[in-house]
Amino acid sequence: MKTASEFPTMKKALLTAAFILFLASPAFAHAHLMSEQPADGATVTAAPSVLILTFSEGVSLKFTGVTLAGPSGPVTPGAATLDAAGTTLSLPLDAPLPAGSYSVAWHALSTDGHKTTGTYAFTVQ
Amino acid sequence: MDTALILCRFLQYGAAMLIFGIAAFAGFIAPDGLRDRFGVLTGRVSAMLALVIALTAVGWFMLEAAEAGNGWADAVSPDTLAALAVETAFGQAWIWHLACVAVLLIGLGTRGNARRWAALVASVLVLASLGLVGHAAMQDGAIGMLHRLNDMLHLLSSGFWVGCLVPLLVCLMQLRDASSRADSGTALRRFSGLGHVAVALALVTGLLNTTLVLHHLPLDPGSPYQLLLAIKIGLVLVMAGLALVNRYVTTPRLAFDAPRALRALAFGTAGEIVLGAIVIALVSAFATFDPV
Repeated sequence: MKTASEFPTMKKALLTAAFILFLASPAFAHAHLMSEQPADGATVTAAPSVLILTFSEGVSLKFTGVTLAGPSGPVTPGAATLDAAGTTLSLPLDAPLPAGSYSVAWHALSTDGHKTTGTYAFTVQ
Repeated sequence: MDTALILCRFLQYGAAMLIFGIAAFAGFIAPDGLRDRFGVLTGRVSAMLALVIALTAVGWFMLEAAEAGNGWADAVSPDTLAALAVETAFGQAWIWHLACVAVLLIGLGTRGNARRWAALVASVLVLASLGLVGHAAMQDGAIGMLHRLNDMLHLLSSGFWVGCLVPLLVCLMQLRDASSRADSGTALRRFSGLGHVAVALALVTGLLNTTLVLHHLPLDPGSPYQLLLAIKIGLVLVMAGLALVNRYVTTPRLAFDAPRALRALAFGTAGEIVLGAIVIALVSAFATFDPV
């Protein structure tokens, strides 16, 4: 129906795509956990004051979070914040964590609406 | 919850494509004299499709809230629904989509020539706004815009192709009737011309979409996303083959063996419709998977 006007658009789009594809980094539609502090499997000597999770893409603050379980049960971190890029989530730990092993179960919603979950663990000495 | 979301997506895509095809074919491709033969499709069927679109659009949003939150309770939680609408790209895109659905519902309430135009414009809006969500929305900036634009063109061209097949079947029936034969022939010729463009555009935009999401062809059967995408591409190529056979092998036979050629055309078209439905079902599923 709108074919006459779609063709130039298409041609322009294809040319642009050809240029951009070589420059673009791989994109993930789902937010994957790229790195975390303290890192998975790490043993830290000083109790961390903050948990930092970095995702492969922008996440929604309202629908992204963690449950932290320690040697004496669940620990509730403070209010989470996101960095400007929307990919790094910081959760302050108001009281120092007692020594022991901790597990972190995280869930993240990428801004395009896909949910991902995962777990990791670290030890405080 | 995942199954319900996939079903919702299937109904949404299928109904949006069909209502667009009906609006385009019955309202504009068919000559004036043939238009009243599509009364059921443009009337009751389109009204039902619009209802399906509206219900599944709301359902999709609620299921997304349940998925984003902590289960079914969040599907009806005002807090979660509001946060999803305001804080996510999905939610913002969905508000636009719901607005387009509202335009469609209002447009179908009009009469005569206004309704013909309203049905076409509103169904284009509904279908195109579906390109704002999903994997097309995973990139920002220029490439994100390009991806969304390409996804919209893909939805419109493939929707035109598959959606027109149902009114095409009705049109083929009219070829038997001497009084409408000339008009049906005109409609078939017009659809054939536009159909070539739609099929070509669907294939090109599909290839570009694959490139934008995966950066390569879906050759790894170990990835559910790539496996289903590869099956989808295979089925689309079979559909394109059927369309070519219909156009270049069966249609010329209408001149000397009309009854058999007509039956073959009807079968070929019905085959394309069935394959088209499977393709829409596949994309409804794998587009929710992680595209790795």
